[in-house]
Amino acid sequence: MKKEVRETGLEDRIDRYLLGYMDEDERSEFESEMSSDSSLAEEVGTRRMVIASVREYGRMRDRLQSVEAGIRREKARRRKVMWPLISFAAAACLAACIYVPIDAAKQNYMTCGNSVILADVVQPSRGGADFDAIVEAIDSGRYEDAYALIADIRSAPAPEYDQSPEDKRKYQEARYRYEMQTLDYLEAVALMRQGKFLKARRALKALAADGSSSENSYYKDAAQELLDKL
Amino acid sequence: MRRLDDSRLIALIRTGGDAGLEAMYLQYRDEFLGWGRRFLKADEDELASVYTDTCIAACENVRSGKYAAAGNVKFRSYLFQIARNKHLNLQRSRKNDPLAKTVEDIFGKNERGIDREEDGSAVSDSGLPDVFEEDMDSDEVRMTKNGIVRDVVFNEMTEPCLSLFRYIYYEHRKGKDVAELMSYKNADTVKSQTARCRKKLGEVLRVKFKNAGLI
Repeated sequence: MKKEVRETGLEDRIDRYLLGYMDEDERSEFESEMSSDSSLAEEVGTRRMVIASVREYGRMRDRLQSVEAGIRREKARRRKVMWPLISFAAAACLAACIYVPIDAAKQNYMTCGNSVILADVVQPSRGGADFDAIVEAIDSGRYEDAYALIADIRSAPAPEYDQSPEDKRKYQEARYRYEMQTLDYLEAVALMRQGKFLKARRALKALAADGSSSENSYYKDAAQELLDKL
Repeated sequence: MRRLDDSRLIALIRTGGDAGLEAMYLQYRDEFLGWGRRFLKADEDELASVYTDTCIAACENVRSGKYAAAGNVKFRSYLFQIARNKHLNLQRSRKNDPLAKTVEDIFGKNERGIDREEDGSAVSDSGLPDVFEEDMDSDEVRMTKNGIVRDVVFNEMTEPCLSLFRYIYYEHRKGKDVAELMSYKNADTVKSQTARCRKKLGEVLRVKFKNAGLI
C-alpha cells in the first residue's frame, strides 16, 4: 500500500512536471532529482513521449470529427433542399401517370364516337319520339340540347298499350322498347364524343347487356362493337 | 471526390500531413459505414468513432512503416481489419470491470490487432482476409522508444484509458470534469483509474522496450 502511494505520488509529480503545474521551486527540485536518478529521468522521458502521442492522437481525432461533422451538416442541408424537389418530382410523375392514360382514353372515346354515323344506325323518326332533333343536336355538337331532348322523352309517361289484338300490343311494346334503347344509344354516343369515357362506357355496357336476345336488344351488337374497338 | 489508388493514397498519407489523413477518411467513409452496419452491427455514431480511431491508427502505421511491413496487402482490407479489431476491443472494454486486472483487459488482444482463439488460430468473421496470418517478428520493424510508444497509443490503447489520457493530457481537464464526462463517481475514481492505466501502460512499454532491445 505504501509503495502504491509512493508510486502514485511519483506518477502525479511526473505529470505535474510535464504538464507545467509545478512552480519554479518545485520544478528545480524535481529536475535536480532527475539529474541524479537515471531511472526517474527515463520514466519522465517515456511519459513525455506518451503525452506527446496522446496529444497528437487527440489533435487528429478532433480533425476527423470536424470532417465528420461537416459531412453530416452537408447531408442534412442536402436533405432539406432535395426532399421538396423529390416530393415535387414524385407528385409530377404521379400526376403524369394518372393524367396520360386518362387523356388517352378520352381521345380514344372521342375518336370512336365521332366515327359513328348516327343516321346509319338510328332509324329516322316516323312519328313517335323525335330522334332527328337529337341526332342533329349531337352531330352539331350541341350535347346539352341533345341531353335535354333525351330527358324530355324519357320523362314522358309510358304509353298505354292496346290490349288487343295481341300482335298490336306486342308491336307497341317493342316500339317503346326500341325508342328507349335508341335514346340510350344516342346518349352513349354523345358522351363518347364529349370524351366522358366513364359514363359512355357504362352506357355502352348497359346496352350491350340489355336483353337476352337480339330481338329485345336493338343496339346490343352496335354497343358491343364500339366496346370492342375501345 | 476522386478515388486514389493505394500507392497514391499511401504517398499522400506519408507526406501530406492532415490532407492524407482526411483523404483516407473521406475515401472509405461511406463504404465503411455500410460494411460496419452489416458486419459490426453498430449504430452510426459508434461506427464513426471506431472509424476515426481506425484511420488514425492506419495513418500512424503507414508513417511508421508498419503497413509496408505487413506485406502486399490491399489498403482497404488493412483498414477494415484494424476497424474490426478496434470494435472488438471497444466491446470488450464495455463488458469489463473498469478496474481491470490484466493488461489484455485494458489494451488490445495483441500488438498486431489480431483476435486469436485459444489454439492460436486467427479469428476472422467479417469476410475479410486475415492480413496478419504470419507471426511477425518484431525486429522486422526497427522501432525507437518513441515509435513503440506511438504504436501502443495509436493501436493498442483502448477505453477507458484512451479517453482518460485524452481528457487529462490533451484537453487539460480536471478530475471533476473527467468524472462527469466518463460517468465516474467522482474525481477520486478518475484518479485511481488513471493510475491503473498509467501503471498498465508502463508495464506494456517496459516489455516492448525490452523485446526491442532498447533496455
